Amino acid sequence: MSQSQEQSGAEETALTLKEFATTLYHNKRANNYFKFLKDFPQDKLDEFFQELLRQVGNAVDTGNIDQLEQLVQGSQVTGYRPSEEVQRKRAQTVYPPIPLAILTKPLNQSTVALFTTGAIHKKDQTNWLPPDHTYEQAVQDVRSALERFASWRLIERDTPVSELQVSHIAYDITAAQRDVNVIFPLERFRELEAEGFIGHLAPVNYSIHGLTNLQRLEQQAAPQWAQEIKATGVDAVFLTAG
Amino acid sequence: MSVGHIARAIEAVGIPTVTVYIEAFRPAAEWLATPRVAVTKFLMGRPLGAPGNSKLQTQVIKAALELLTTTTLDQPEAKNLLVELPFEWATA
Repeated sequence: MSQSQEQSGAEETALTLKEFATTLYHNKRANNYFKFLKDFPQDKLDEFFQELLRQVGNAVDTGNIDQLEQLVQGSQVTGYRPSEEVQRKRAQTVYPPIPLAILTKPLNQSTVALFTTGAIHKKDQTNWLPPDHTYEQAVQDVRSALERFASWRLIERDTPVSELQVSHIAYDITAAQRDVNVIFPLERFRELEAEGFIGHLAPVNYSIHGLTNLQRLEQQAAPQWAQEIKATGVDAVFLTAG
Repeated sequence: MSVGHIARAIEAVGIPTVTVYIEAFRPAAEWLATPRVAVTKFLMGRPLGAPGNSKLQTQVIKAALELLTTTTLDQPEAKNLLVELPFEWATA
């Protein structure tokens, strides 16, 4: 291959910064860690990458990752800031605040249940989505008329974390795979019970896949789950999202 | 987004809830008026802190649980509660 052919080949495959950022979104190139760059302000992308590289260099030299972490975290907040269009849509539905319920006992006498939308399940429980489903296929499922109803998985309080699996399709799950307590803190709550900070971790805890039909969730599944949780007699619920 | 609907439903049947959100999801928490919210300055998928850092996770969880003891009974209008937690990812 001549030098000119090589050059023209390189030109055909060269991505703009924006195109590259878009490929980080549910793409083979990344595991969702940097998917927020898809919606990052285009005119700020080069500044982000420049600063990212500078902070990588600093972190390598000093061993201190504080500023690197703050850069990525702050940029994620920027990337997820609702667009004006999203803000207009949201403004059409007003959710009035709900009167806060009362914790009737001190925390150290209360039974607390965990509820996550981070798609944690026991390895012997069925996943919410086929394992080879892409994000796009999952979104189509959610939007189609045949969308399954949101379903929860029940996780007993003494389940070893080694028996848990993370199957969410839309957020970066690598941290939860390393330590599920970052989103479903079974071990931390067992410690808090032993320490006497809470009365008890509930016998049964709950998990759903948060990517679901929100209207059905709001109108049918969530009120039904709330009644079922109430019937168990727990005093409070601790929730997390991906 | 879904977590806010669930928290609202549970609170509505009289069970106090607290929901930990990462900062990037704060606009959704505000839109849904999620009843009690603890916001952490962490990345998506890690709302309670770094993997393997049980000390940080416990600090976050305890601070969030403390919000359960807050009510708005003495206030004439219902109001949701949202608190930014001060914990840092790397230095805790």
